[in-house]
Amino acid sequence: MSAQRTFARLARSDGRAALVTVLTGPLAGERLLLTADGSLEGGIGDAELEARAHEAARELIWAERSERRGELFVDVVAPGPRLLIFGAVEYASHLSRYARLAGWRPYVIDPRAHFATRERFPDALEVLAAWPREAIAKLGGIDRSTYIAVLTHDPKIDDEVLLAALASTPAYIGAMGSKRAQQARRERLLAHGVSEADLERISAPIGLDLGAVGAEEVAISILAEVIAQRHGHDGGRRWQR
Amino acid sequence: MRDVAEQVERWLARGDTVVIATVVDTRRSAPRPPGAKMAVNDRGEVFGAISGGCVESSVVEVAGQVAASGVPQLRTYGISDDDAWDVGLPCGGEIDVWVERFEP
Repeated sequence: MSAQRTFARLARSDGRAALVTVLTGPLAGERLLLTADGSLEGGIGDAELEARAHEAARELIWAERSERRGELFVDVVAPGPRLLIFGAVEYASHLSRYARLAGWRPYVIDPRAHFATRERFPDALEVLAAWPREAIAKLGGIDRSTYIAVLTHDPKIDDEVLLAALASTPAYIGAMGSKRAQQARRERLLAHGVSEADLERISAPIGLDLGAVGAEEVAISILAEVIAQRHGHDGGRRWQR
Repeated sequence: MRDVAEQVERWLARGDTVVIATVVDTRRSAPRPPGAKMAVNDRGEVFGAISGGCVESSVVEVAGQVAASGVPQLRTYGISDDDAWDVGLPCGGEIDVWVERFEP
């Protein structure tokens, strides 16, 4: 199988790889493929150019960005970021659908097994009928490219997610709820020993201020916020920049 | 790659010759970022996009040449081109496109 085809297969299966192609000069069209475990496939018929290709691939495979570097083009595929949606509620079905469309990997989690069903969330990568800590352990923990949306409205579930999330380093934590619900939540979390500084890490109420009406629009405002977070933007209007 | 990979796999499975066009660099504003792809087969079918629709038809012609010769081409499209009226980008940007045969 060619390096190109391996790259295409990895793209289809949510894998991670960098494919470097020589664009100009006598070696145009030669290729080097780097995969996530560090292994190489293919090769470029010039040691110095191959070393540069290898270095660029190693950098960009984790930066998750395709880029031209002089006579080289580094094409990168990486799995979409994980969005853990807690609460098998109506918002979650729209949010998982839109997130999937945008290339994210949504998971829906709720211990209430009659809500957390595959039928209700066909677009989620997985639907887990489990308590938050158990589900997080099953999904391999929370890492820096994990985004967490808490939509349950049930303090027993919400608090367990938020305590687990604050004890690790997700890219984003957002929680739904009215001003009054936020206040009650703050007090409960403080009573659990969470610091004021850690409370600031929770984006609540969740979502960008779109004036969203209805579950679909609310889901869009949440997805818009996590997209802005991913790219280090605050979500204002572009013409006002 | 993700958006065209499945279609490419289907075309290869039925024995098509497949050419891939990839945006490798952009200057000023461009509709699609480096890595964006369009796939073309030897029946003239097209999948995916590399711009807002303005350079695709020109790239299909290049893809025909690449399919026949097997030699990849690096093309630049944008307002500085002589054929700007045909393939100018509406956003005033410029893109470099790498067109190559997909090796199965």
